[in-house]
Amino acid sequence: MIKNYSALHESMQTRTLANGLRICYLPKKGFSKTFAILATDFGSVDASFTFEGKRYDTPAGVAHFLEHKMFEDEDGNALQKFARTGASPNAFTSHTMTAYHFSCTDRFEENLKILLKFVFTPYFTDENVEKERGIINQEIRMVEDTPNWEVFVGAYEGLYRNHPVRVSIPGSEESISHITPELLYTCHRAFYSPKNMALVVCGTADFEQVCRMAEEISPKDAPEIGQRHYGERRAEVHQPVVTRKMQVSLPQCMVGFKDEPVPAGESRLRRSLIGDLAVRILCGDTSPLYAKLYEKRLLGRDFDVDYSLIPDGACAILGGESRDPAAVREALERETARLAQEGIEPKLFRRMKNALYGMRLRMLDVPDLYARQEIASVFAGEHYLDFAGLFDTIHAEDVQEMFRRWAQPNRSTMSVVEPK
Amino acid sequence: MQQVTRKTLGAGINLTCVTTPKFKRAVLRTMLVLPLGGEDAALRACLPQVLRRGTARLNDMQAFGTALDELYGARIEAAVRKEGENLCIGFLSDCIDETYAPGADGLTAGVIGLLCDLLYDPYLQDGLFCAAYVEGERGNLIDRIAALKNDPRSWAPRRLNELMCENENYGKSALGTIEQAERITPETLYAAYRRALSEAQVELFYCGTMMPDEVEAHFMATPLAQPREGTLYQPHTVVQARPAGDVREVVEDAEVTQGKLSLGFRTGGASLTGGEPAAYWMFQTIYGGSTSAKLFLNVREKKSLCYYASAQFVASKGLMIVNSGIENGNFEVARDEILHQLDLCRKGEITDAELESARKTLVNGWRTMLDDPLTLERYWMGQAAAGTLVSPEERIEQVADITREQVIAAAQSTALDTVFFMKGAAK
Repeated sequence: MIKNYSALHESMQTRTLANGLRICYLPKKGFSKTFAILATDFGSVDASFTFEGKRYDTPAGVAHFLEHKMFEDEDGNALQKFARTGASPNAFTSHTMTAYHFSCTDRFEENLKILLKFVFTPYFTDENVEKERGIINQEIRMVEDTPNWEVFVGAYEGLYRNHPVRVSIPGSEESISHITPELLYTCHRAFYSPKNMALVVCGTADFEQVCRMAEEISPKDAPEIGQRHYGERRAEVHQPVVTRKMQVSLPQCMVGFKDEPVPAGESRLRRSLIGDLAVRILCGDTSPLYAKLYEKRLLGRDFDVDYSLIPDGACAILGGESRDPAAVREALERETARLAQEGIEPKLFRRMKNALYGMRLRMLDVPDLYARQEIASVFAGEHYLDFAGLFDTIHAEDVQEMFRRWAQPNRSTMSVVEPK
Repeated sequence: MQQVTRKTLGAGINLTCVTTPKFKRAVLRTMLVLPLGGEDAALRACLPQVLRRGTARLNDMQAFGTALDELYGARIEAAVRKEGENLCIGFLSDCIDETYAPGADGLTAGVIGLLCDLLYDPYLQDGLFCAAYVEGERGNLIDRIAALKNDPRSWAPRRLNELMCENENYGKSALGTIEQAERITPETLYAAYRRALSEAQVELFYCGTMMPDEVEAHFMATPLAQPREGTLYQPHTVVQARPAGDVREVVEDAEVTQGKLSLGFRTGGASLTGGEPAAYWMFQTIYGGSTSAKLFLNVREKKSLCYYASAQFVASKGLMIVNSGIENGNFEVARDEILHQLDLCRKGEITDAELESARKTLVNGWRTMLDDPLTLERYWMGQAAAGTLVSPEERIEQVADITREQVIAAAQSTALDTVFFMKGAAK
């Protein structure tokens, strides 16, 4: 199917193969590079699941471990195959997905073939799993020494009591010590089914050829996907404050507001637009509160705001360095309560909406981000470019309604990394 | 598709335009180029932050933020950068191209106006910067300098530079020192501002759909066009050979769990403007520039010593830096393996496949750069600061016929200068 988005000067072609693999092509005229991303709707939060009649509670970090190991095939490492073409390959594991991607300016089809092949072909041995453990242990140590990461993990620990999002994506040295080749094979079977995956190509490619190749290389049969368990949901946060001590010059803090999950049938894209507007209105770098707190030196230029959706959950996280995290939290809570009660001043709402539109539009110039957003939307049964149309359906009352949810008792938490 | 033009608009004022229809956004920059280090260092680092607080017309963050939102969320950030031994301070912006939104006519001109107002028409009280802004930004600068240690992965190479180039300007931080920052007052800062405006080379940049003549006209309609007096700074960087004597090895403890190893090498002359940079890029890519490089394959994949181990060619200064994060007890093993891989390059143990893969990786990298206006901005700033104007397309041509012998020669000219190990002392 071809869809045109004339206001955005963009178009896309989409198709779902017989095995369920969703494919999407986003042409970027004039760009030298083409970016391709093949992802599975399987992230660090999908740690507990029932598959083939059996319940699995996997050790933390298994999705990420699997990502590392996928590159290895019987006939060598996929990274080295990409090297022959000069392509730049990489992969990531987030809370919600595992994605493999490359960008190239030449020999696109050859690279696409490598990508499709290695992601659909697991090859794990005791020896290669053991070797990877050493590498991942170093990665875990690296992130555990990174205050920005630790304060982020702390925010999720505070927000959620049972949801696996509270566990750091790569797991711990202890948790990954339990990972075996058998477990990796099980996860691959349970979640690397074509019907749980999507391929997005952004740049210059022949869509029909992309589909043909995907059809040829992806498995014909699509096994059932594991049934995931996210634990019993609670509306309230788990802990009001989570504190760690590290080598930092000033405290780092993140304040989280717990939101309701997006109900089935409601647009996740629309919710994320409302969430982005809400965090920007609350304390984005052009908001009245940000200016006030900046002038008091309670926060700095690194202060960042974000709204995220996870399966069976949603939250806003705002934070950065601060000499007085408690004061920042108090100000954010007070402003949330005020906005919930008084609503949003029309002029402020209009300019924030304008700005967000501009930011989303600019992102379409960055194939990596654009394709990543599209793949997340595809997993939700939507298309990222629909944001432009959804914008018109969003009113100040929608954002106020969100603030009302955040303003209820016990919906906020604060994660702090304090100087040792 | 992309046309690059460069024009001098006035004494020491240069405009680089990349004209292309392919982006939905425009990227703009107004930057002052000054010497790195010296007495004014902290003052200069503080300057763009104070200027960013408000202009004569939009004199606080609220007013300025509102103006940015109304320009469809245009972003304008204060920037403080080190390019070789030059300091670049000023502003960077990205905004949507005005053809992509209703009622956005004049958006680019609006952003150019804001950028130039920030630099040339600041909010003043009694002829000086607003005391509250100066006090706030002085404090923020002190915090930023202190915070450099927070992220071990970026601190280790920074500390290495400081040690290796302690007698060169390059060893100085773009932010200055805490002692300097503590002495900042509205008077000293305003005086430094006037000095910077009279001495600096001004580097302007635009990437987008607008024709260079029109971009120029918008810039010339701002206070930027005022005549300048005084001697202008000529950007330059001294590329030094490795000093005589033993390799310096420094180990320092830090409250972290993972050790960070950084090795600093002198290239033997290869830099943006000297030696054979194309051969050096080839060597650095084979040695540690990709996931098929010797360092990745051996230090990480074969020996499982680390998650990352890579080599970076600092072409602006003629250095190569290797960074890795390792188990504390593996310091000697990792260092020796990193040096062993360099020795293999020197001995010519480079396969045809490695050679061709590196060439393709580099070509892919430079071509990809053409798709990213922010990377292009950075690229052309680096060129301007080095006093050279080689395009990414020319870089691609230069690596086309680099031979194995040239790569080996590049490896052989590389000399280890300083080893820094940040030892994790936390439990």
